[in-house]
Amino acid sequence: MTKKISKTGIFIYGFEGKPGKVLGLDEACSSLGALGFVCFKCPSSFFPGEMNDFEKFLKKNKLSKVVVAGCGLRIKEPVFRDSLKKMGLNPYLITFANLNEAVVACGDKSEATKKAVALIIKAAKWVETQEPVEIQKVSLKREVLVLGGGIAGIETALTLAEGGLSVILVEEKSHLGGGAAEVGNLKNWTRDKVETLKKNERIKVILSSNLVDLRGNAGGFTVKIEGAQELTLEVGAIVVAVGYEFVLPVWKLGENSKSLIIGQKELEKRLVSDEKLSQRICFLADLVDEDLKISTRALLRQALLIKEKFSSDVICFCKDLKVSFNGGELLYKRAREAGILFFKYAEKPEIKFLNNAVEILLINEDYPHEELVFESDLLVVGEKMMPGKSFEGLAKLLSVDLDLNGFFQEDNVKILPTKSSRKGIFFVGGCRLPQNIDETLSEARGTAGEILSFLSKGEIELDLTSAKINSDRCILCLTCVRTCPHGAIIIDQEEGTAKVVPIACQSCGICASECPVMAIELPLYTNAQIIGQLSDVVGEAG
Amino acid sequence: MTKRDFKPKITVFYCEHSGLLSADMAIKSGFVYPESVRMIKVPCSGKIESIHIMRALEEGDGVVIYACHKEACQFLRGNLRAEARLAYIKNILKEISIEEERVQMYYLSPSNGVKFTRTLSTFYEDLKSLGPNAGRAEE
Amino acid sequence: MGSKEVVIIGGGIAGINVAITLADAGFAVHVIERETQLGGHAVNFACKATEKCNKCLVCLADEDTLKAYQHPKIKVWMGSKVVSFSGKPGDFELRISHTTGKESSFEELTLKAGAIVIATGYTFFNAEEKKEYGYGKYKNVITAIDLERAFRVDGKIRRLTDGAIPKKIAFFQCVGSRDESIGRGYCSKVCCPYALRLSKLIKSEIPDSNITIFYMDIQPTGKDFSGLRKSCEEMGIKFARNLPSKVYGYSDSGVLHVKCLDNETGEVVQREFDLVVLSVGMSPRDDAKFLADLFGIDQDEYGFYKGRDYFSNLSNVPGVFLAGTCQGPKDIGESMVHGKAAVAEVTKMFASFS
Repeated sequence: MTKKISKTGIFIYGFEGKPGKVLGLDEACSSLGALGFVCFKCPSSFFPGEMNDFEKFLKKNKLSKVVVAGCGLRIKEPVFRDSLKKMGLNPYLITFANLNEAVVACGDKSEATKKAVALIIKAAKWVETQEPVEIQKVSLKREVLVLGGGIAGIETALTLAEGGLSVILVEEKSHLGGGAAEVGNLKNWTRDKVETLKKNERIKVILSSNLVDLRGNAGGFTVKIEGAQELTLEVGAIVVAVGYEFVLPVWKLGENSKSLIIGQKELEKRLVSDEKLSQRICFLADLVDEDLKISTRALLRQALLIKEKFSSDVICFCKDLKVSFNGGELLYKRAREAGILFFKYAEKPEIKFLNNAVEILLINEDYPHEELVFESDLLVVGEKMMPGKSFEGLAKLLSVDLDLNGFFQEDNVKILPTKSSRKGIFFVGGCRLPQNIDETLSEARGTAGEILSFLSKGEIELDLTSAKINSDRCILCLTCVRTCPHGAIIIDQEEGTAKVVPIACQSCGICASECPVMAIELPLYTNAQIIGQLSDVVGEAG
Repeated sequence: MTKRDFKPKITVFYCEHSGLLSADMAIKSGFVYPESVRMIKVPCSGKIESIHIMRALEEGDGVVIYACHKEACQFLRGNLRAEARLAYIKNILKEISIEEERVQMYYLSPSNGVKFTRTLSTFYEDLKSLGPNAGRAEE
Repeated sequence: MGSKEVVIIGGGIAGINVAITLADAGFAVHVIERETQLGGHAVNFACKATEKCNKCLVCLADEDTLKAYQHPKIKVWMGSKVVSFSGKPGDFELRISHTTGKESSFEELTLKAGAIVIATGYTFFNAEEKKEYGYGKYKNVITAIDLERAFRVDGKIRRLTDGAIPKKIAFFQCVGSRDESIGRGYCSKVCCPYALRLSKLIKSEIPDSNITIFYMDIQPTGKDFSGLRKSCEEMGIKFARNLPSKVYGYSDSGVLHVKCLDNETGEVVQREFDLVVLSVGMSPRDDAKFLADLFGIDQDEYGFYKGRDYFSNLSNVPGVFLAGTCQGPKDIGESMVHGKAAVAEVTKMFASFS
């Protein structure tokens, strides 16, 4: 035991100023030295480019394991690991002792020092049991598959290609542009984007096709595409940017209702084709989907266009006017100044059909809460965004989840809102959350940025801190496959064991704790290490 | 040992995604752990196995688990697994007549320093009034 | 081929996300931060989880700050600012002045960069400008930011006059946004979400409190926002669609009288509240013009830096990119995504050199 300990070095740094005065670091060093540790107190906080002290210390004493004691969470763990790597040592035979706890408990200098020594010894005991962690180089495919040729897909593909990656864009329909190609003010902009996309040599567009099979993991997915063309490809990442569907709420009323009530999408078509519109037009927003911002944006634009073009009477009803987009408030102001009326309701308005008109009854939310009745020749209703029909099948194929409403479910939003639970798969645009164009484009570029950062180098060094499965113990019960939140465990039929895919594993250890035969261990948190900390430490306190 | 001198030995398992930063925040704002509290870092509360909790109870008086808030687990459902495991442990404790209050789980975010301080101090005081753990192995 | 070094001005949410993502891609990154800590405004905010996480994403600031501090390829220059700038895309030179640790002693140094990302962020509307609400005059009128800090530091909220638990609390929305009378004709986007989450947090801390949110329109962001609003309504938080015109503090008791509309009768009434919280909006930074002049980048009519189109990261100066709220109001999640989008633009520029 003592012999082993002598190989562990203690490196103390970053204690100039107050923390240094509180702790008796020299005393700590000498008492640690008495236990057989090699101690070094670094005179200065030495970042950057001053890892020399650390490296010299290791070389001089021929140390293979080291404890770095510092103050607070700002101990730059990755920097030390980097330094070890450069010296040809294993970057995981190191552990960090945060002495903040001792510094704060500073009632008495000798007490604080004792506590610091205890913390360092605890860390040293931990590093004793630590095995070296292998480092593996994994090559990454520099191609990306983008599913969906709407503006989200186009912007992602363009950004990726201009950033230096190759892109395969697969669209279900026979043309690109998606919903935006049908919107008046975005038509030209979309057309230009599609042209730029077609000219880009790094982008291959495959129309009228679908993804039918997916194997492998981030950095090396094998995908099969069928439709107009049949092909199998290898890609490093997948971006899902398939479109949603618009559904108009249904009224159980006579045939004539169809000509009196239309959706915003239908209205857009009429506006684009320069059709003459009726004199009295009402807009009804937030009826089926309160969260939808694009509906309000389109409403303001359409209402203004109608007012300016046909000088019709335009009245808008909504629950909340969602102006949280660039220029939104000013657009709202312009609409009011143009003579468009806005009424806000708390309870959903009632709609009646007259012979050639629609009657809208609502209680105005503003004082004096009077009941208002309006007659209109045309009622334009904001549609509900519904998940596309392909979502369910696609989610199954990609082994990702859908949310309660049937849209794609992102991983913890905190990590990146467009990231799926599987590494290398992303959701951009309306398939996750229908948003305004600004936000959708930003998401597309942001996702491209994340993928560029991941794939650009063409290979990565993986520290194999991922879970390890003992194939002798594995009974193929599939518990780990089911519990893994990232789909990182596969079954190796030939060897008859479950296997962890290191690039997809995020080292949470859930599989290790769920495995009924204890066949799985997580390298930095093995059972022995956790229990070791327990018995040593709790026992010691008594 | 009188109740007043009794210093409960507590093992704290904390998730490195929430507890780590919260504990650091608590310390920075002057919180001092009672001396008999030991902190053990885990990558996710879902990694804490029943055996770890039981062993900790064998050698101490109480166990605290700090997990991420519901719907905020870095690994989606790790905290729910921990919760389920805790319920299972509490059942066992009931059967062997050990107070189930000796094991508690709290939810934290990475910026919940205050809650960390508050919950740990309360738990310490609760254990103090509960007295030593009868199921603790003799030393 | 330019030097693969990037300078990021500002170490808030957007800035550190640019830094981390670029550094992961192999760039050498310098972050110039004027304060003494990273994380921007968000590190002073409070976690708003109640029985479950409410997805305010404030904790992102703490997590990412740590990542940025520890990253081997990121160099953070605390207490620094840019002094001058020259060069062309791929080959810029920046002079920065930076605190040397000793008090008020500065040194100047030169950094080379292939690209520059501006992520200077925003400031909050100074609520004292809305004199009728009495911020700065009455102690129990606070801004939502004061409330955030109180929850972060103390984990609770008390009346500033007497330390009592506030029972009747009012939130005023759109303070310093959607208000052309003070030259702010834009929606600040984040105030509705944070006000709803904060009110939920107060309600769960003080269950018998009575909370009213005075608003014009509720602006949703993110997934299932109507669910958040519904949960507020279920908890008993009231929504009143009118903005109060004045706050009076008559007595020494600290009770505030709020002049507003009675929702039932429509009459102008004065209602009593223990605490008034002003949901202040985002404004461009006061020194935004300084950097705009230095780099020659355009500002919009309010002072935010102008992107080329739809939330673009491209400024009018090649090689100088925008990220986060310096370009317009964004919530934490959007700032992060916008930061990553800036990474894409930077990568694109370097790819075009080779």
